Amino acid sequence: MSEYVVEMRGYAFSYGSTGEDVLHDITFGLENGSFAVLCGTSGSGKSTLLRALKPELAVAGTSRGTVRVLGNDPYHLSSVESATRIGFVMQDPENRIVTDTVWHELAFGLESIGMDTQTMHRRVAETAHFFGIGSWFDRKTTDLSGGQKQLLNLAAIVVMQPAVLVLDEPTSQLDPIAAKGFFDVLERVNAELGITVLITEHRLEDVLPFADRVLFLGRDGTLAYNGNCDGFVRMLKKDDDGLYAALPAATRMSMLLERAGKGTGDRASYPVTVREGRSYLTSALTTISAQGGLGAEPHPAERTLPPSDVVLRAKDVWFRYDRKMPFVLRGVDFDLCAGRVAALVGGNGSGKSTLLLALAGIRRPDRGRIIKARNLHVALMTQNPKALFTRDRLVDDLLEWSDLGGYSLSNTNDMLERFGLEQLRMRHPYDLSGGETQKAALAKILLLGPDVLLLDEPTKGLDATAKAQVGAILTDLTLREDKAVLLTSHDLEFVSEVAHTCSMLFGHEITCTQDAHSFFLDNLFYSTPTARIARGILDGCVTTADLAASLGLG
Amino acid sequence: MAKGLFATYHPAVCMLFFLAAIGFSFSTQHPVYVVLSCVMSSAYLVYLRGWRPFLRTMGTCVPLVVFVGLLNSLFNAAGATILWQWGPFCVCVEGLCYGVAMGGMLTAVLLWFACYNEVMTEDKFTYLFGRRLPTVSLMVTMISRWTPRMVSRGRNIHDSQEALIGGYDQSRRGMLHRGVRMATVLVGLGMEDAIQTADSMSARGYGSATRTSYARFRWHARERVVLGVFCALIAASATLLATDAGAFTFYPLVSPVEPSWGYATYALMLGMPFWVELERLRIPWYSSSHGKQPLTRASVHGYE
Repeated sequence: MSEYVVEMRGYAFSYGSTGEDVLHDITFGLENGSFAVLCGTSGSGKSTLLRALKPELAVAGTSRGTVRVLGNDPYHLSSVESATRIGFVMQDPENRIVTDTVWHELAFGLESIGMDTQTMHRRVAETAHFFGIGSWFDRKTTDLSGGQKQLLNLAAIVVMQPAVLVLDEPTSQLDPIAAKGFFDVLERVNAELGITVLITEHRLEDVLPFADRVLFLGRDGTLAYNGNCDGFVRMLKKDDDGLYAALPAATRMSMLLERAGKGTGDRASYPVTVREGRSYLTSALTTISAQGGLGAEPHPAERTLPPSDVVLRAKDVWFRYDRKMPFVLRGVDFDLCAGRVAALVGGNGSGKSTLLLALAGIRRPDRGRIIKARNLHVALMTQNPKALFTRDRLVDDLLEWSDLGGYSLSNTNDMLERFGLEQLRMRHPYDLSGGETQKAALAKILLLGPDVLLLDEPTKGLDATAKAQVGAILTDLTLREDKAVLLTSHDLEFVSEVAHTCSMLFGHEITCTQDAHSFFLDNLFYSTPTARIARGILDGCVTTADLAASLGLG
Repeated sequence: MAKGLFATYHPAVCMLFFLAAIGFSFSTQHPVYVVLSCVMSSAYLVYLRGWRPFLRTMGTCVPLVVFVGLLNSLFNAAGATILWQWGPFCVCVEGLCYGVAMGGMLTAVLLWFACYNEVMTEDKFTYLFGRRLPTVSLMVTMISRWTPRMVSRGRNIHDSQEALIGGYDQSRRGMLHRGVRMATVLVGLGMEDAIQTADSMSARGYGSATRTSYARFRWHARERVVLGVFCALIAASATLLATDAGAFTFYPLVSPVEPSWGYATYALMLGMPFWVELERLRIPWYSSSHGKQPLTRASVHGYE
């Protein structure tokens, strides 16, 4: 048996039999018990690579080179061995759950491999205990939250006692708090059970602190980096490959300082967590003041928003879904202005989505009113934008409402170009990646020419690059076309960069509305990582750009 | 345990009980047996769900009884005591009685089904039939997972569609068109979901070996005792009921109701969910019949 649990040597893959290789010359090995993160921009073939480890899930195509899992070719394993040795956790927890109750879901895999009842009970009990599932063991799977669903998926795999756990963007559909919870458990699985983990993830902020290995898949489909975290950051510094924005805020800050020659050279490793970031920033500032201070005293410009017309107003809105249920919105007042991006933040179940539905006129408030400017066209994009598509090709789909919206094929082509989707016009909409789906849905909505855009979680499942693109489009829409945008998001960093105003929903009411910059400065911990790093050390910074401005690094 | 001890018995015992209760209720229209079945099923449903839901169920049952009774007496003119005649329609006392008995029988069966739904939860059903028919039972659980998911998917599709194009065309044709569109999307998304679920199943070894079942129920000594008593009651009731029902007719004249031991046996059989509760009272003769043995050195060592 080889020393590696997972090993690939000279692996190459192409779709179909004659297509061009999307992965070339992939060579790496993972030692037993390691925690490896596979990163790369979307579309670089991360999922394809992971799926090559599990014959049942492998993408159809031609591959060359060797793949070894526990020293064996996975294709030579029996299906029982494959099921028990290689665990695979996928995106979209909702669709991965097979049965209707939690206990049955945990037992499903064991039932499939024909385990005897006695051993099965013991395994299920142990696993439920390890994952803290005991209290919701008898629940229906439909009643679980998204975070619980993904935790259940993980538990239903770990119950098979795999030697390797492969995870393909497991938290892309989760809110940040649920994602943190998931990673904490994953870290325990790795540390306490010694199961080798290989994960792709675009929230590097959450996962890098645990990782002892980073694999980086370049745009050309080769393994551009294979080593520890520190070396990875160092490598990114040299060649910025669109992953910069995905790095933890503390790491980005240290890279910024280092590029300007003001880093603290005495440090062996880059800061990853907020705590490390704070101590890094403190010592960097000491060095800077020893060298003669920051030069000109920088001061971030005071931000004032130009006055603007209110186009959509919620006035004392109360709403409940059913007469017997509690109110989801309690006396909400909200103004939406033209030419601005407004953001709505708050926990799960605080009523964000409901408020959007009310503003869009789909749910009638029980009390209060929605006041709309005359002839105003309001469009809402709900979560799960896939629900918008009906046709087999993207371009046909975008043309679906051309009669209603009065637009033509050339408008559609312009829109595709604006979103950078022209390459994908012949694809099936369901085959698009998360970011592409989100952009395509936005394109379809914009073709209808709405004046107000209400977006429910537009950043869900997007990687840093796609997020930046969506952000740029929204800014453009408000500044150049004077549209009003209201979005809900859990991604505070995105909100701080894109939104002009920010409101917090808590306990079914709006607790405060402020311009986004002051909102994040005034919040103590419901704020961006950069704000948490810089608080008390270098005031007035919410984003990395603010930090650069305050330090006079431009 | 809000549902009482009976619900904790092995699914096979519960299933047998409901099969017997529903089967017997269906098999006779002897008024005493019908009344007994109605009373027992009502009592059990009240015990399981409380008064309010029970009355709501009855609210739908009573009109049924009245309807069936009237309908039968209108169209069945076999009785001897004519109450009222109008053209071809002839209402007689016997027909009315027969109709009421039939309505009562239907009510009892409906009430027993309502109790069945409370006690025989899906996992029990799956457990009973899962080992024999693994594919069918898995399908049942998967369907019960899918239905609520499809409903919420449908709502989501409806909302996003109305939010974008709902305002354009409020005519009936436009609404019909949107309905069709919604169904198309639902099917498309449903198939997409199904592919992902199938992936998840094969990744967890589905079809790689003969399926076993995660059994959550065990046979205890108490189950065997109760089952024995119950089987005896079934046998006794069946014989007595056959005799009583054979001697009773509605037509041409309603025969008088004779006293019989069958009534008591039948009530005892249908009352099983109540008498198993006696266990809680720790009655010595009842508890000791559970095969409880004093702990001896031998039985302690038996664990090794």
